[in-house]
Amino acid sequence: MIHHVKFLRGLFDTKSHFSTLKESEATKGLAWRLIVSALLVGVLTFLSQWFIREDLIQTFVAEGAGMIGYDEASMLVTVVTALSGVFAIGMAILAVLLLALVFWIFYKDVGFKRLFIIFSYFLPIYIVTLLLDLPYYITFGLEHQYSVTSFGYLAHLAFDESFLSFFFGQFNLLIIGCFIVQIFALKVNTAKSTRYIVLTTTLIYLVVMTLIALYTYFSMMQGVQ
Amino acid sequence: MKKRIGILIGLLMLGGLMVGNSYILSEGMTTDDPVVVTNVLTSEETLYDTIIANGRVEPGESQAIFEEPQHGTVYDIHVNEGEEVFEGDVLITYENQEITRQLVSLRNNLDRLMVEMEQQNDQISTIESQISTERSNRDDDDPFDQTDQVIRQLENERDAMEYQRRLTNLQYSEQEEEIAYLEDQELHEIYSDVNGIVEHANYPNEVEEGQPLIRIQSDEFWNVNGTVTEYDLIQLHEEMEVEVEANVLPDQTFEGFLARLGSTPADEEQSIQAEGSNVTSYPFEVQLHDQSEDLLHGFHVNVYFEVEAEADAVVVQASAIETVYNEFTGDEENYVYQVEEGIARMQAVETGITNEQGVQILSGLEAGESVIDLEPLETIYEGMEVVVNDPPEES
Repeated sequence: MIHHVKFLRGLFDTKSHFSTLKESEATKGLAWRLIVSALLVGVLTFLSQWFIREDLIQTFVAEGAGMIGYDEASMLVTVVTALSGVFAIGMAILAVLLLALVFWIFYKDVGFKRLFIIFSYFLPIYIVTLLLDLPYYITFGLEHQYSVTSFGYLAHLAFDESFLSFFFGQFNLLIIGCFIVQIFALKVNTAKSTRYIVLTTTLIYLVVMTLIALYTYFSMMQGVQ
Repeated sequence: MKKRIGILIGLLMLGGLMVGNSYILSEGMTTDDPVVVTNVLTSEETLYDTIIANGRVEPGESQAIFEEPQHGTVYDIHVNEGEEVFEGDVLITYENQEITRQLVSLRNNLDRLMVEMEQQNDQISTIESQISTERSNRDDDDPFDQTDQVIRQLENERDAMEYQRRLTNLQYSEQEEEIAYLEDQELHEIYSDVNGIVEHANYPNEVEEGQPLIRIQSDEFWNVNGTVTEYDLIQLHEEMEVEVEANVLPDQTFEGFLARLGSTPADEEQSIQAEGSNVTSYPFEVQLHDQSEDLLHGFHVNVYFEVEAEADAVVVQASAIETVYNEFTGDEENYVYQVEEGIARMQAVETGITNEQGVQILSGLEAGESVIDLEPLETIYEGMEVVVNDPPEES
């Protein structure tokens, strides 16, 4: 049996779509979809950075304490923007690979390959998130700190603590979407109980989110100093 | 159907979240308020520099008492080591044995003269009796009576004896005066000239030749003796106020004044050594205003002389200066921040002397300009929105 990788179907008709994956001996359409998705992620990341370019240049000039002129900063930002696009392409595929590796520890019965296929469906969710955020980058520039699909802004208003804002800033369409897709996909591909799936997924997501929030928080603190 | 409702609810929630976030962003509710800053004013003032010299705590007064053989031998030392003495206290008593011997001789003479005088008195009394007897035996009717002649002879003898007695009496008085004088000289006392503590007190057989029998250190005020280089010497003058810090009492500062500034090198040996390095040291003496019980003789101290370094210097408080390491030039560059229409602007400055008064600005700022006090701020950068808190404080 061949599993046809169809991202949209996988997102909206998750259960029945992934039920074929368990019995499949081969997949079709994964590679080009993965590559196209990663490229799209790269392009959208590049565009997001490009739209906040002016703000970034101003920040570089300011933080350069008079030692970096506008032209140097502009060149630097262009290079950083271009690199961020390339970096995003690599990171998109690497993230899928890493997630598959992490969950493989808990779902040996599913197998690494199937887990990789399941997590590849996260890329279209990320693309949608990036697309939704793009107009906000254009409109608000660097003020757009968290995804518009996240609880980051609400947390920013509710708590006087940057770490919590960064943490809740990750509760966005990407995480919630990935969580739902993953739960349904794993449910039909593993013999483990639903409770086990929810528990392991929630825990790993929380750990990853906390680590990212901590990294962002300490990066910001260093920037302030 | 159930799935579609779920998706619909999900989309509605997402939409609601996006609308909410859009509102928050458009209202600028997450934008941080401008940082409140305090301005400080640059001022024009005379800058002082501090010259630091090393010194040693010495007693303000001291008295060293050496043996004085001309007064005789030491009869008694009245003080002990560590004892407190006051001005006028007896320290040493000398005994002159030569005078003692003279006194014995004189007193014997005195006794002899007393005996002589008694004898003369007796003789005079005897003669007086003889004269009275002769007068009573005189026969006025006898023209050949010799009595008057005898009486005159006796009277002459009496007068001669009285003369002798007066001479003896005079000798006696002279001897008495001599004895009184020598008695004063027999025991000679040495007194303390200062109030202080006896550092050591020894009999002559207990000290080496040339060493004092008694040394008293004043405990009423301390001096600091030290040396300064010729470069520092020309900036100092007597009577200038100084601060003193003992190495072992780092939290205490003592005030005093420069009492003496030497005009000849500290000592010959030092002078010669210094010539090799082209630096000569000169002695100075500082008198402390207040006596401190914490200071002890011999403490090593730092003496701080405040001298005028720059007149009419533009000065700003140190907390307004930001030092940035320039990776391109490898130099450290100094900046201040000034507020222009609510925005912090960096201004490069060249700095000079830094001391407690502040930092001298050689270029980049004029006196009277206001700059941001950076001390209370967590961060500041060019272009940061700021609000000035108070009218500028003079630095």
